Amino acid sequence: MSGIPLSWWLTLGTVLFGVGTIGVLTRRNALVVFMSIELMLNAVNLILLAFARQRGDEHGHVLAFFIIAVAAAEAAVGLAIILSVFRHKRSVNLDDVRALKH
Amino acid sequence: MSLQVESLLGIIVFLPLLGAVINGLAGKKLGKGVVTFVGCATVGVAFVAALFAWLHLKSGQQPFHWLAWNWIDAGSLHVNLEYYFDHLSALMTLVVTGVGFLIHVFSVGYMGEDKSYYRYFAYLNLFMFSMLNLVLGSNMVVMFLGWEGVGLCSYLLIGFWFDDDLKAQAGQKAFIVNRIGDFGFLIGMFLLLFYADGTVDYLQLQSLFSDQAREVGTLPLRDSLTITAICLCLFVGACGKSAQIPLYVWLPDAMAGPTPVSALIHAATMVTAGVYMITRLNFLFMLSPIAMATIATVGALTAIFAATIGIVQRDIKKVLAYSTVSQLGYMFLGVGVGAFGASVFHLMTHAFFKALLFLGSGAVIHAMHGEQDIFKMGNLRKLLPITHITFLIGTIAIAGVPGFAGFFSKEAILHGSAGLGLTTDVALTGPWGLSEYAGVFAGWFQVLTVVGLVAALCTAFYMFRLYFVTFWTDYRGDRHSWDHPHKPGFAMEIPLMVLAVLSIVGGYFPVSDWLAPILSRPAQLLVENHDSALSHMLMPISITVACIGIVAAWFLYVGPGRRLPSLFASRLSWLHTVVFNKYFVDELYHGMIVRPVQVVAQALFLVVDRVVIDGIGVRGAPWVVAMTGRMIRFVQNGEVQRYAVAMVVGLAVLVYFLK
Amino acid sequence: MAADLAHLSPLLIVCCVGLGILLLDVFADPKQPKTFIGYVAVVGLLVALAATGWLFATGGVLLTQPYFAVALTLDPFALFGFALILVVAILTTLASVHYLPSQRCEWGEYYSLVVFASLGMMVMVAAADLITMFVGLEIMSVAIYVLAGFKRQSPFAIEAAMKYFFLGAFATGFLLYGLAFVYGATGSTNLNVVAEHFAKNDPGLYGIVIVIMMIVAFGFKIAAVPFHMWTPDVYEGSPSPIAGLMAGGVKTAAFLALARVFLTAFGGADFENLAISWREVFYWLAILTMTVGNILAVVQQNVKRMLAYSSISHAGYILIGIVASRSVDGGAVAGSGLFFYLLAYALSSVGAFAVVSMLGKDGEEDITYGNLAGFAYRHGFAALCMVIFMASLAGIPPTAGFLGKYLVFTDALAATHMNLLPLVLVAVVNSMIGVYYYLKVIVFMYMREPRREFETIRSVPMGIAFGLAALVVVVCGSFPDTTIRWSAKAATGNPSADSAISAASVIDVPAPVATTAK
Repeated sequence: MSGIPLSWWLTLGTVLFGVGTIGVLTRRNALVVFMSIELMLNAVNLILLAFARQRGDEHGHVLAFFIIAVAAAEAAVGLAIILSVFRHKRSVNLDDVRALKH
Repeated sequence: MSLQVESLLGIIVFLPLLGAVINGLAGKKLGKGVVTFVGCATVGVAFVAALFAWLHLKSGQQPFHWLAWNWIDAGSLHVNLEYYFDHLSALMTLVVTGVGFLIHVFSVGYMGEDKSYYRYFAYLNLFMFSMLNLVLGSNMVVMFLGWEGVGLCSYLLIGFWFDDDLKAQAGQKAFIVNRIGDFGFLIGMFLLLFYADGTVDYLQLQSLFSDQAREVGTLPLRDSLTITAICLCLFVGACGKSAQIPLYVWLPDAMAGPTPVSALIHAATMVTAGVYMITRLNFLFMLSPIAMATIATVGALTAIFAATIGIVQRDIKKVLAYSTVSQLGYMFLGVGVGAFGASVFHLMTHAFFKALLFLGSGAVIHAMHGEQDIFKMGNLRKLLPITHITFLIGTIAIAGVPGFAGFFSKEAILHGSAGLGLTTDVALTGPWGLSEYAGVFAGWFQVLTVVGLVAALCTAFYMFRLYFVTFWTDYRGDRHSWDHPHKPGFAMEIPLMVLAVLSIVGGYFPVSDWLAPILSRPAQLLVENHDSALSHMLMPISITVACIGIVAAWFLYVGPGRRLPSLFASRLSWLHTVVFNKYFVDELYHGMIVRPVQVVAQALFLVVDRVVIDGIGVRGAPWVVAMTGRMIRFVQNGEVQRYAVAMVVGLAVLVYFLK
Repeated sequence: MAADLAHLSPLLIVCCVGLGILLLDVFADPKQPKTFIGYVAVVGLLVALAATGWLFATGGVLLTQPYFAVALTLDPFALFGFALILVVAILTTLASVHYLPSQRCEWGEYYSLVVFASLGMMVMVAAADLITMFVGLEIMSVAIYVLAGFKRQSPFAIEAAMKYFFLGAFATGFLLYGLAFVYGATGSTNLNVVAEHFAKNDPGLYGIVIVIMMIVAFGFKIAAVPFHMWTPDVYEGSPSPIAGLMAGGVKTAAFLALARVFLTAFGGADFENLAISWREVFYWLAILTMTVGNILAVVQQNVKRMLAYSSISHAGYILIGIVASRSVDGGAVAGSGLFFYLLAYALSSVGAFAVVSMLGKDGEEDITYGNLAGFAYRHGFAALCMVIFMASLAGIPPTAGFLGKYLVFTDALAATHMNLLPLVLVAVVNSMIGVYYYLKVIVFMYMREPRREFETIRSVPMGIAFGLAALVVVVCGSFPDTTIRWSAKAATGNPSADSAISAASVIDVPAPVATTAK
């Protein structure tokens, strides 16, 4: 475990981040999109922890905790919004929510 | 003493603003009498104050400043709301307040029955305030304030009767065209600001760009290309405001506004802002021969072009509008050849006689119950004797008959143009010496002078055509108007008479000498070196030209030219039916002389005015913006993921460029 | 310690006000109108504003306790931002008190959300550490997500909230990715430490990643093209006063945070030596943003959408101020035009949205141009204020907007590190286009006959909101000396720059040297 070089971790984090990004861009289900965003945030957490390990200090860990806390707050609001969307449209498909345009 | 004189400027500028505020906010409740008093008195007092200030200057005192307030005074940045009264702004202030006051008085009679009387006076006073800011401001920022202000007021007043769709559209058009001009003005201003290191004050600019600086080599910018670019940008602004090719199209349409507005804004004052601006910055423009030659050329072309269009118009105000465009062309020809004094001279006399003509036409339209077609008028000298006499004086003045104001000023401009053409030994050297200027463009200025003379011929012709058709011949309109004309009251006739007097005596004021102190050294040298064969012959030629125009108009519209057909018709009735019927002679005259001119003019009008400028310039630029907008907005299709894609694309582009 | 708490009073007061009115709402009679909660919020925010004014007058303060000092900077820069944000929040609240009942969404937590959003913005502009800034940004964003969808019975409002939320969270992802690399490169997230590190070390590949990710994240918040597309949809769907808060408050906070982050942390010479420096990126973003914003504003029929695109184009002008600013000793910001412009823009747009808020009744809004026809004859004062806001946004003297443009453009022309003349010329052309659609509003209000009667809200506090905004806009435009002096103070005075570094080194900030992983 300790033998894995930093660049591997960074690559893994970046790939996960990319997967999340592509998920946001391509998936139509609001919940899946939301999960993809969470994936992006957790990819960042992974990168942070890799840096923290490499530097041997706690700053990165503290940062990761901040991100987890904020992501939780965002999740609360985000799920509430998705719920409201569902109340109005009986669907959580993003294609159904496009009344505001041009 | 000096303290009092300086504070006069405050009175001149801010009284009209006070009037606008009172009338605008409380006019509805104040009643007509008070509105009239506030509207006219503020401008009247401003005029008296301007007279005092002028007398002070005339007694040999120095030009003076008045600081209204330190607008921006923080750190290195200083912009003051400051006014400057020198020879040029004195003259402009007198013209603006004087003519403005007369037009205010005239409006009392003309707009008396309008339901938005107070609003009209509020706008008019606001216009005076803006115009005075434009001419009295001591720096470019105050001028810009006035520049935008007069544009706004013009827009408000053109669309004054906004319930009429067509008139609202005319306002829109004026607005868009002026915007295009203002692009140029602003860009020129910012370029100047950039190179002059933030200097906006005229006096400081003048010393930055002075002839001494040029000789020593401390000019803020080294290459003539940049200076030419700045001058041309500013000139584009002048074209917009002063209705020059190709941005003149808004002015004829602006006639949709009330006639006194046309007289004040679209003849006497606002449209001359471009001439004023170039004269004010003469030290800058003198550094760029190319810009000067461009200005002169555009001016001369506008003069002839608008004059030919004037020949075929039927609407009394349209004739005057094209005439204004044409006369403004003269002024630009004047500044373009460095005859700044002559241009401002013409600006002044034009303010007198064109205001007179517009007010006269207003009286005619008022009397004819709003009829504007001159072919539905005629013989009005019987109905409106005072209007007739004053209108005649105005017509003579604009036609260039010796002894009247227009003759002197037009002569001065043509003299400047012709003289420059043959001057080759101006004793100036340097990177943009005037000898080059005069030398390279020598022949060209001769051509422009001839163009100016032809335009003078057209002017004399169409103005007298207008005069004869309106005031002579037989009445052709409807009976009701003839039997019950709205006779002009004193409020309308007195301004006419005053302006008529000014149209005669205005030519005897030595404007060119008066303005000498504000000109830069090269400009002064240019004036002193005017001399050429053509300029000696000029006076007889232009008198002849004016006479030909007048006689031709008389011949075709009242004289034998008109009677000839009926004469033939009675004596030789068989011939009448076969060959010499009325229409044939008409056809002959028209076919030989009028027709070709008409066709060319009409074609120019249709192609250049309606298609090129109206279509591509006025409608085109906004159309392109709107179409682009309509196309791009469909990218915004409401899908949240497309928005995310746009962000990622942005990211990808960043990666591409930054990696 | 006590002195620090006193110095933090603007933030603490706002926080307490937010919590207090949340409780007030809980114990209030559910059948009674919630108007009074709004007034309590206004009073609380006014107290915070007074505290800010006191601190600003003393020229900014230094926080002594290390754990405060590494997190927050209370320099004039931040205090200017505080004042602006508080004023915007007060005006928004005043505009809301009668808007909410008319839209049938009068719930008390609205006011505390506005207050919390303001708190978040204030934390953002005062942040001395990227983590603090991130927390402030999220406090603000989460509150605004809720506020955007506050009219929850309206499908448009929910759509606006959803779009804002998804894209906002998406942008947060990029911000955090960049932040992680800041930490990875320097071992710290404190702006001054980061600056110090980059002054000594080449940013290299990490630098590029950081700059790109930060530009994307901030570009989203300031609505720079192409990260702008949420703006019109969200502004249109949100309650009008909240749209004002977003245009006036969120954008101000985002711009100030952007200015601080880029000019302080990435202001060093090495960041200029990347393939294209971030200044050049902003240069092109500015051109793109103002042009696209203006062109799209021209074709809008809905006034709120028009104002949204106008706010996009203004982001372009403000970016000129950022590009023209220069880092002085890796800390202070030069270019007071930026601050003056933000003030002019924020007040004009929050005022314009307050006027627009009038156009609603019984849960409905009609904010097309047609509904403005004849507005001046029914609401003379509101129309007059709207004229002032439009003139200011268009940059017509003697309003603050004109001076803001003038100052930003002169700053840009005076900039020595880059030739910004072309940028200024593009901006001039754009502001000319802008006049067209701003004037359209005035034309409709004054020169068209009303088509049909549409009920409008008549509300004194709303009138006070846009009246005050209009007054400030005119006064700042006509007598700008004081405001310019404040802007200059905000731009150059940065007393805590050095002390923050020393404070940071007091507590355990590791030396920015990579240690090998265990």
